[in-house]
Amino acid sequence: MLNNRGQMRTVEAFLAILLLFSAFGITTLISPASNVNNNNTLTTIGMQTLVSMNNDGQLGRLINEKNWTALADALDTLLPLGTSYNLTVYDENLQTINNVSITNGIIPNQNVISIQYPCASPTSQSSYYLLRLQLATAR
Amino acid sequence: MIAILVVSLVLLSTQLYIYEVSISLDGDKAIHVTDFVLAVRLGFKNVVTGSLVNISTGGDSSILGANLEGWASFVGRLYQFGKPVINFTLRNATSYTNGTQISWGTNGFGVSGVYVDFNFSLADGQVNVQLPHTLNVTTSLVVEGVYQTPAGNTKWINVTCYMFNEGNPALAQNMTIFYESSSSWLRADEQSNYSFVDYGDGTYRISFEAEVLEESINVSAQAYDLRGIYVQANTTCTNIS
Repeated sequence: MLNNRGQMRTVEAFLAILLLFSAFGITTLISPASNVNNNNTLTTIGMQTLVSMNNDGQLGRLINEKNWTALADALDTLLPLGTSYNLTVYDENLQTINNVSITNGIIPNQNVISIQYPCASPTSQSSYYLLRLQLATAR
Repeated sequence: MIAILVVSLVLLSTQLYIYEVSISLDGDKAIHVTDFVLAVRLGFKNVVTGSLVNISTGGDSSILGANLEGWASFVGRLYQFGKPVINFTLRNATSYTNGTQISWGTNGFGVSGVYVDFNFSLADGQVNVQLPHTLNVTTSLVVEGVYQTPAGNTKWINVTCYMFNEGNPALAQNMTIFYESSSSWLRADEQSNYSFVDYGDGTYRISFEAEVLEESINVSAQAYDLRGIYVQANTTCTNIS
C-alpha cells in the first residue's frame, strides 16, 4: 500500500514538473512582443527619415530630377547602420518611375516592414509621388 | 499537484495578458498616423511653395487652387489609416486675392506670398484626426538707397537689401539691382566701382557709381530666395550729400 502511494507521489511529481515546463514552453512560444516592437521602431525610423528628407523639399526635388543615386546616398546616410532598404517611387497614377533599384540589398528571410509616404515636389510644376520604403534589420 | 496547476495557470494567464497588450497597436498606430499627417502637411507646404514659385515668375494665380486640388485628390486616394479628407480655403483678405499676394511696390517693400487655410481629417475605427491648419509662405524684400554727388552728374549710390522668409531673415540666391536713368532701367553690376557685399544673414549691400542726370534716383532690387520664389522692390534713393 505504502509502495503504491510512493509510486503515485513520484508519478505526480513527474506530472507536475511536466506541467510546469509545458507552461514555460507555451509562454515562450506566445511572446512576439519584441518582434512587434522592432517593427514599430523600424516604421518610425523609416517615416522620420523620409520626413527629414522632405522637410526642406529636397526629397521631392531629387525625385523630380530622377536623381536616384543621390536619393540612395541620402538613405544610406540617414538610416541606421545594419538597416537594409528598398525604395520604390510611384507617380500620381501609381506607376513605378524609378528605372533603377534604390536599395542596399534586402536580405532574404528577414522581417521586412513597408511604409507608404506621400510626397509633393516644391517646384513650379507640382508633381505628386507615393514612396514605398521597405526596411529590414538583421534579427 | 494542485499548486503546480495553479502556478502554471497563473504563468499562462500572465503571459497571455502581456501578449494581448503587446499586440494592441493603438498607441503605435497613433504614432504612425502622426507621421502620416506630418507627411501630408509637408506635401501641402511643398505644393504651396511650388505654386508661389510659379506665380511669382509670371504664372497664373489659378495654379495655386489647381495644385492644391491635385494634392488633396492624390492624398484622398491613400487609405492607409482611413479615408483622408482635405478641405482648403484660399485667403481673401486685405492684401490677398485667391490666397495670393504679389505686391512689388515703390515704397521699398516687395512681397510675394500665399495664405491658405486647410483642414485635414482622417477617420477610421481606431484613430480620429481633425487638423485645422493655416499655411503662410511669404518672401519679402526691403530695399533702402542713398546717394551722394561727388562731381557733376556722377552719383555714388549705396543700396541695402533685406530678404525675409515668413518674416525671418533669409538668404537670396540671386540679387540684381537696377537704377533708372533717363527713363531707362540699367543694371548696376555693369557700372564702374560696383561692389556687392553679402553679410550672410539676408542683408546685402550694393555700391556703384553711375552717371545720372536726375536728382531723384530710383532703384529696383530683384531677387529669388533659396526656394526659387521671386520678389522685387523699388525705392527712391535719399540724397545724403
